Amino acid sequence: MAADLKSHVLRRDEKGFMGIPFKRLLLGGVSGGMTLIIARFALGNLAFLVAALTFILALTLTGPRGGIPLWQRLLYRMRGSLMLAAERKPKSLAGRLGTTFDMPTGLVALDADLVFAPPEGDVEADMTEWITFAHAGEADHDSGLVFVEKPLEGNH
Amino acid sequence: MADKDIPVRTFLIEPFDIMLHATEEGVQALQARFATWLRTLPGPARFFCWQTPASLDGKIAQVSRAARETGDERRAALLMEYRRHYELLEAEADYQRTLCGMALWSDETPRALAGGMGSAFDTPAFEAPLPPLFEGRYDLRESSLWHLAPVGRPGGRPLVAILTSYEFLPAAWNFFRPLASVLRLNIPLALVVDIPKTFERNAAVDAVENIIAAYQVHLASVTGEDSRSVTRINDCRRTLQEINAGDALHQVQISIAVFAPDLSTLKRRAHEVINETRPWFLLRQEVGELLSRSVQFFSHAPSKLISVPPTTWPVTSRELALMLAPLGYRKLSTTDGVLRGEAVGASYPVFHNSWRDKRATHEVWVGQTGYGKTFLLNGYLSREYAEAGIPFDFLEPMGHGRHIVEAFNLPWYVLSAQHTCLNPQDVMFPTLIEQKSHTIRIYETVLGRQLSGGQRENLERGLLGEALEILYAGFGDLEAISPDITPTCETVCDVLAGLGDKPHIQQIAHDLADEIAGLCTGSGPWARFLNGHTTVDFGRGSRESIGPRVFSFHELEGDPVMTALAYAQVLSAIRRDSLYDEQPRIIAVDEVYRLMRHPSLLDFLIEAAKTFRTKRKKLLVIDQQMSVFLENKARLVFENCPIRVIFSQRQGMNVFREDAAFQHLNQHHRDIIASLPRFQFVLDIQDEGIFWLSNARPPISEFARFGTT
Repeated sequence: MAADLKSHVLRRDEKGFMGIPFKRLLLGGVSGGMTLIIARFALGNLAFLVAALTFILALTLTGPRGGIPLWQRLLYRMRGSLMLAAERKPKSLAGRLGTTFDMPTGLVALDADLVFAPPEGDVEADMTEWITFAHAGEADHDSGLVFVEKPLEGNH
Repeated sequence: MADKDIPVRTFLIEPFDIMLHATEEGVQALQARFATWLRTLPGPARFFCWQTPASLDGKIAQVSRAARETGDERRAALLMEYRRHYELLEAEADYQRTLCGMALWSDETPRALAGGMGSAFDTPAFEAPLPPLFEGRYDLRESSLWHLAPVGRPGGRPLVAILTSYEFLPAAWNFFRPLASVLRLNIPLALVVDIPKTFERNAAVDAVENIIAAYQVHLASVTGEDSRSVTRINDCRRTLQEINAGDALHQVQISIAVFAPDLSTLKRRAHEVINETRPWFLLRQEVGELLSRSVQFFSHAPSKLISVPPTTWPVTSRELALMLAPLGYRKLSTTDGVLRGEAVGASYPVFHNSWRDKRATHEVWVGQTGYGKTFLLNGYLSREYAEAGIPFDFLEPMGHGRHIVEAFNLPWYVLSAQHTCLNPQDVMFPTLIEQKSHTIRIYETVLGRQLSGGQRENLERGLLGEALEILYAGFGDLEAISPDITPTCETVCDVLAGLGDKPHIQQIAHDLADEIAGLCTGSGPWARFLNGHTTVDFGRGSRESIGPRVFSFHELEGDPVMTALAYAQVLSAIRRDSLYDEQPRIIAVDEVYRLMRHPSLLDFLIEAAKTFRTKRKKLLVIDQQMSVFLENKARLVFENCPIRVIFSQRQGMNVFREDAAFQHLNQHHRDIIASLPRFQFVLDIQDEGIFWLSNARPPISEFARFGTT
């Protein structure tokens, strides 16, 4: 027997143009437009090229890579690099940046004893799972004292 | 998502062998069972499967050590032969060991949760901490591949890369693909199926219906074809159908940790896994901070605290059930104990140590003639003797004990109707009452009737008991009666004939004495066999321990009563010796129905089975049909045998269908049992699991020795 896995039934496919969702096109367009307005003061007509590049960059960075937007993936990668630098070369530029941005340097080194520590506090001894023997000989015929979950009924 | 106040309970689950379910109906039933359990998930859950490299090195070292330490040259030679076999297996295969676990966030008691899982998955589940993904300290490394590397001296610790699922493709899943095929890559890895959320039924229905509504609005405004939206609506409707049929909707994400000794191998293995799963789901290789965080998927940290962007996928219970497929991939397990066979399909050796308990665990072996029972038995006795130093007594009626006798140069006790005498009065029990009962049982078998149940029979029993008591009392201490001075049947008849204080009692005593004398003395059919002093030395004498022995009854001229008496007397002697110590020993009784069909001797066997158990003597009862062990009182022997070795039973399948003792077997198990080819068998170990094994590739030395059996 098998099961045919279905598409994501809790997410609506976003409509778009040439396979690019409208939201991303809109963000790219707004980014490009904003860039054009600002850059035109400094660059003149060259700002059109910069705006086009910004549009493409915005589209690329918002594109999914491994289920998350590329910008987010790059951000995690960069945070990883900054964490490493802050931990290993704290005096370097990247290390200082890492310290400034308060990178979680604790994630650089992982101690198995801490990460995979068993949930001790939550495990309570269930006495009903134990048999208590008063004498060693009792263990031979399993006739020890047994804890029960609730008082036995009928014997008063 | 897991509430931080809800405790996490972690469990280890014993993987089972999917080959025991490998038919359409079998896997269907398995999926239905898994899905039923998943529907009732109390909260977040996480399924784990660790696959680590395994080898027979430990076994090989253990065998070598035993060979060095033993003073017995024969054992040492056997051990070296087994060592060569294990080395051969090791060289041919690339073994992995799998371990499965489950973390559940629930307020329920761990025992109840473990019980639920145990019955749903039909395999032992118990609360236990989960093993760590790695040991010691690891740190994040940035290179061509983001990975985790051990801090300090690696000491065999591998590099780790983590892959996380982000998209599931519309493809057919089953128990064999894709997760099982990932395990079959035979690389060390750990796999986690994280289930951070199970939707409440109404919430799931609402969520899916909203998506359908949104698509319908969209489609109403579209003039052209939009096949994606149509497909999506169909998927949503199927999901609703499944939810309405009882399934739950779960959010799921799969994480796989890949291990390798060096970076290039790690990269290759990561790509292998990504490529293997690509037709079913897409994996991303975690980088930077994400890598450090995703390690926690292999711990009991709640998903929401791991802070990784969620890339979960909604699946229904019946789909999620197939993601627990690694549970069906039992690989090389422990190497403790002796080799019981090779798993059919997966081809890994299965070892089992049945001596862990302080009491012996008896075994029932059944199988039609010619299917490899005797061959396996010879091998098993040989392995236990060589590897664990456990001697055996092998009782058989066909004369094929010769093979094992010749192989190990053992003393062979061939009981013959012409040359052997077994005195029923031989002292086998420490107390007079027990001894009298035993001797009366022998006479009952000879007479072919019970000495109880009627007035005359009761009187006869009393008189025979009195005669025996008089004779034994003459020696004072029961234990001082050696076989050469034990009263013979003739003497018993003489004493019996003179008993009784009233004429009619005297007549009964006289008649009984005549009846026994007619059968056991003079020219009676069993006179030569019973009337005299025992000619076989069953005793331990001054020996500290008794080596392996073989008792064959093929020269008893096919006389069923004589054979049954021989079985009973030999077993009695073994039983008597077993009281001296608690040294492990195997007592293998072939064609046991010859003993069991005599009611008096069956009682003896039942009692002996209990005594043997407490004295660490493993009783191994062998016959052709399981039904023999399930009839009336014989069942008491069967119920004392938690290990069952089942060869082809196509002639007696009704018991496997009807008897309550086999309700744990499913239809596919029964189909397997009905059609087992030669040298294949099912090993059913109570509370431990069911294995479908083959003995078609035994150690070469065993084949050379016992091949002719």
